[in-house]
Amino acid sequence: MNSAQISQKSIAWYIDHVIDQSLFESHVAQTRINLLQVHATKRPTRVLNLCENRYHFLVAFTASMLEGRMTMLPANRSEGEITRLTNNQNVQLINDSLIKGICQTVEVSSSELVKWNIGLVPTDMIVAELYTSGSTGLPIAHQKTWGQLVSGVQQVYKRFHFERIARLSIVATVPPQHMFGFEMSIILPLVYYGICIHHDQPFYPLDIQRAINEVSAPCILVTTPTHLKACITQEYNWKNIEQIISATSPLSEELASQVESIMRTKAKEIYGCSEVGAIATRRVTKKTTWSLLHDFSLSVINEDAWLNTVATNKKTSLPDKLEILSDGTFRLIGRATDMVKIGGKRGSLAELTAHIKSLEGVEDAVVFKLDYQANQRERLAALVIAPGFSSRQVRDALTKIIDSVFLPRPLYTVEDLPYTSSGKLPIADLLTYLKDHKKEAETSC
Amino acid sequence: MIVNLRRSFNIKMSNLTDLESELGELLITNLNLEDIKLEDIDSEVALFNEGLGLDSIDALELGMLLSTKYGIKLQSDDPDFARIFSSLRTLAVYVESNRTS
Repeated sequence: MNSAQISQKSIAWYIDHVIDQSLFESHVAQTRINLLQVHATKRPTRVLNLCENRYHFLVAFTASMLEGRMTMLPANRSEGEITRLTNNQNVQLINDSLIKGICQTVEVSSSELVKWNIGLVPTDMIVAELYTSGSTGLPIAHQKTWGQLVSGVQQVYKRFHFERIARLSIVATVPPQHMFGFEMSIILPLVYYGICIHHDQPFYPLDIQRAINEVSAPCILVTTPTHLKACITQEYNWKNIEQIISATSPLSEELASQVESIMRTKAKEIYGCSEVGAIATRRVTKKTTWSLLHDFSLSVINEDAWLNTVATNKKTSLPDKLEILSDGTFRLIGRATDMVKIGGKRGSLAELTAHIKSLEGVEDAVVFKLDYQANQRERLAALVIAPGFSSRQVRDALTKIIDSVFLPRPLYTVEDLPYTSSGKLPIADLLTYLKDHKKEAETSC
Repeated sequence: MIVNLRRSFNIKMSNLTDLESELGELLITNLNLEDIKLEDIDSEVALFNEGLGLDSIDALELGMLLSTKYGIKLQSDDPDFARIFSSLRTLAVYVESNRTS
């Protein structure tokens, strides 16, 4: 690919060429005709979009909206999650191999071409649904209207002054099915037609560098602290990154300042959640606290944080503890006791405990958080009573039913749990119990 | 009283080569696998999901470790990528032939 090919009408860097708006509209039209309208009777009302290629996802999502279908964004690709989402529902599945043929066409087909603009979709139409863990073990669905999504990215666009950057390219390391990736690499180019996304989801620093080199400058890198930490461990020649937008967990000041100097750019962050999307932003090397986006106001009631969406007056409980400062910005203090967030995925300790207890042979179990260290993943430990079974057997069984990011490490099988006389398992007692066990295991080696 | 059933469950003498042992120790120490003992790891065991239960965040951490310790820069579009990470043995073979330090 070379930068001479990109214009204000480009929308994606795809394999070895640039897709312009009319070709994108043609791919959307073909997807509607050849994939979504093929069911003669009882058309599915929902589309499960499993595309890993970001351009495929964009085409499938846009076509689904124009057909009046809601897109389901799975929390992961495990067999269990896919079965749950397709079970007993009127769902059509679209993946890369189904849509690839359409997206690889380089000729614009003239039939039924609809010129895309955001007004084609009603603002109150529910266009997407994503899922977070609930404490009962059943995922909670969060529905998004087109209007909410548009308004969300409009605010981020203004906050980060994207209007000052002409011919913007986006490289994202986060999946389009995750709220952060969905807003920043799918909704953004649909609302601001002319922003050009890279089709891939680069993973290692060399992959990220290759993608950045394939798009033309200026480029925005949409990523996470984990990827950034990897990017600065060894010498890579970073250039052309206009800004970094990081989310899923906060960057420490130290890491952010290393990233800014080594990657020669500005490291900005978004704080958000699946329920709402982007909520606040900061550039921690300039100011450590978070500034709310204009749509929102915050309140803290009995240590619980509530977000109020001004336009709708809708209140949402936030999974984090926070402190509101006199200048209106806020500081994150910690996560609500039961919640854990790893790799951008949110889980509940109660739910994970319930999953372990559901395994055959398990009599009792507890999952708890270990002390958190900056820039490290949150860590979980589990103590399990399962007579006759080893911790390895419990872990093997557990990998089949939970997302592997939530697999507790360590997971020990024990004979009893340190219940208090009132039947509780205080965290301090669990940590002591675990420490004693580790010592015992080490000395018995 | 805590019982570690793992030791009685899959006792085997270590069948690992020196480099496989070195990589195994590297994983246990750096990826919070403190409940796994090196002697319990088989060189054929899967590193991700079932097996050692590593996930995508570990894959990035592992990339950093290989880069720092052996001077290897991973790329996920390497055609052999899936095979490299399929077990400790395949990882060791890859490290042996690609290490620069």
